[in-house]
Amino acid sequence: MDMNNYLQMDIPELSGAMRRGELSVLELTAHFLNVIEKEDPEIHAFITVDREGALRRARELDGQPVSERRGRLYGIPVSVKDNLLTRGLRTTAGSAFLRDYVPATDAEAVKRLREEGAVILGKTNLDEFGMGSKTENPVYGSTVNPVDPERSPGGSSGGAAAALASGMCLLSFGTDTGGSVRQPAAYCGMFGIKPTYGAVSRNGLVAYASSMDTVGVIARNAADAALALSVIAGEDPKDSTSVPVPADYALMTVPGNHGEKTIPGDHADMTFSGKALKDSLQGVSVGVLEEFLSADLLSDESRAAVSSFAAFLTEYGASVTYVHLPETELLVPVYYMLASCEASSNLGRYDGIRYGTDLGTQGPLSDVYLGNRTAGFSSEVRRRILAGTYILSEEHYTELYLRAERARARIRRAYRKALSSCDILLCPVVRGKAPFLSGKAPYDDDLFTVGANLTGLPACAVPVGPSSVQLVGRPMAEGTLLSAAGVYEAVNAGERRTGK
Amino acid sequence: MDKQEFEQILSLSRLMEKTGDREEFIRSMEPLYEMMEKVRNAAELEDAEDSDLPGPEDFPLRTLLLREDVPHEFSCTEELLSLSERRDGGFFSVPRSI
Repeated sequence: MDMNNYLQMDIPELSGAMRRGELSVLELTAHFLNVIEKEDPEIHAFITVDREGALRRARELDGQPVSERRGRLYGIPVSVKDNLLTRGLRTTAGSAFLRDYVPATDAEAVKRLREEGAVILGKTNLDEFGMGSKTENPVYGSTVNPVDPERSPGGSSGGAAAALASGMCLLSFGTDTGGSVRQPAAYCGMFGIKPTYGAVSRNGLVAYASSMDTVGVIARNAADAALALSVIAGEDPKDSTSVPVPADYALMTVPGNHGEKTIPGDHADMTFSGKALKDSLQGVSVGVLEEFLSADLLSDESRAAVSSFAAFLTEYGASVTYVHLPETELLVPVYYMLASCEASSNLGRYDGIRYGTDLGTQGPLSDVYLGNRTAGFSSEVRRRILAGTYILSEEHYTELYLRAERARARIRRAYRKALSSCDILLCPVVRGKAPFLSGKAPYDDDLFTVGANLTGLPACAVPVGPSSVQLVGRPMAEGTLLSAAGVYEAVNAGERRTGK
Repeated sequence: MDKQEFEQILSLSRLMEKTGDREEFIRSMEPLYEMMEKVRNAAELEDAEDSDLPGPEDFPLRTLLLREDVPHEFSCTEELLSLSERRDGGFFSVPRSI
């Protein structure tokens, strides 16, 4: 079979073909390394490409007897954001401080990927420590949006989204603290999901804001994302905030021509027809977040995508209503205040002596610390460290930090109330088109995404025409979001993204 | 809290000592300051009580930032470094080998 035919397959099918020995892992890996070699000088999605490691791993997998081949991601070439530790492979977190850091261990999510047979092609670009939404990195360069080279891919997992959208890998793993998986996925026309806080271990994720940091997935479609999520999710004793996931976690149920298909685990050929899917969303209640839809900054295109998706959901059996989220005004300020506080604490260790590379400052110890910290952190990181430290200072703790935490509790209650009568909340994911490379990305742009991080709820970005919409669900109800997105993709076959 | 005080504290921060254009940097912090003002002045938070703080039922989350850990003087180097040592306790995910 021609390689192009394989590239049209979903990951469960493709992995199955490699397990059965119908396709060589080496051949597939070499194909993606060649695409990286050709495309990445312009896109700059990767900070580090591990050509040798990927080929070695591919040969190792091809060498296994067919009868012994196991792994849900067997032979699948993936990219990993450069703030997730990879054993023996440099992990910079986009910072000068970690430019020479080669971890001795894998992040738990990465470990699980390897155990399931994935081939890691390299580490993708990000805003320093994940703080930003343009993947504009002063040390490692800026990533270009493959959909429109004049524009940014978004961030901070912009390298991950751009790598996938330009056909440099089949699956990308990113992290999402305030929208860093969903926003670049939307700007690059891909599917992106941020799981419930605690569903995926944070062990080995270079910390930014620990109460909101989440490992997520950017995929070509919901089926691929469901499989990837099921691989990396699960309790981990090395992360005390991780929790057990239910048996049906990330299980995507889509009615098909040959009966109901479930992913992950089902590698049968999946074909759909509109008739088989009719009424497949019966019983699902969806609430459109009214305040988001009427936000001034929202473009007509993003608003139209939400309306169109709501109409689709109704047509396929879901009940759609409008719901209120009264705390919308506080979302962005509370997020930035709390994220800055946690960043100021998490980044306190980087001094070039105890943590991070010594950037060469001479003099007394205090000058060395100071020199390293000013040279090592970009302006945006310094801004957040300063803001966070100010908020946590004795004089301002009560009027700022405590109030922000109280506001967070209110926001969480508001989401909980909205989800008490709805299975899914539907809203925009981005204001409109991606910012130009030379333009700015104001903090307000994060309005639609930070709520899921402040509340710990699962949320995904689903491509709809030239735009995207966001679905937010109840804790651990990723399967509901994936199923709704899967039905949409199945009905709109053209919406299934396959990369470049 | 007022803007003048905020800017004065920023200009005194050691992290600013080697910043090229300090005034421009301080100006670039305005959006963050405005966010703090918004939360500080939010009328809906006036009647908030301690019970409005996140609890274990809200998150599988430990409280990261404890009142007694707050630095007594604003600085971004020594205080923060010692603070992070105390707070770390193996909780954060980056291994100490960094």
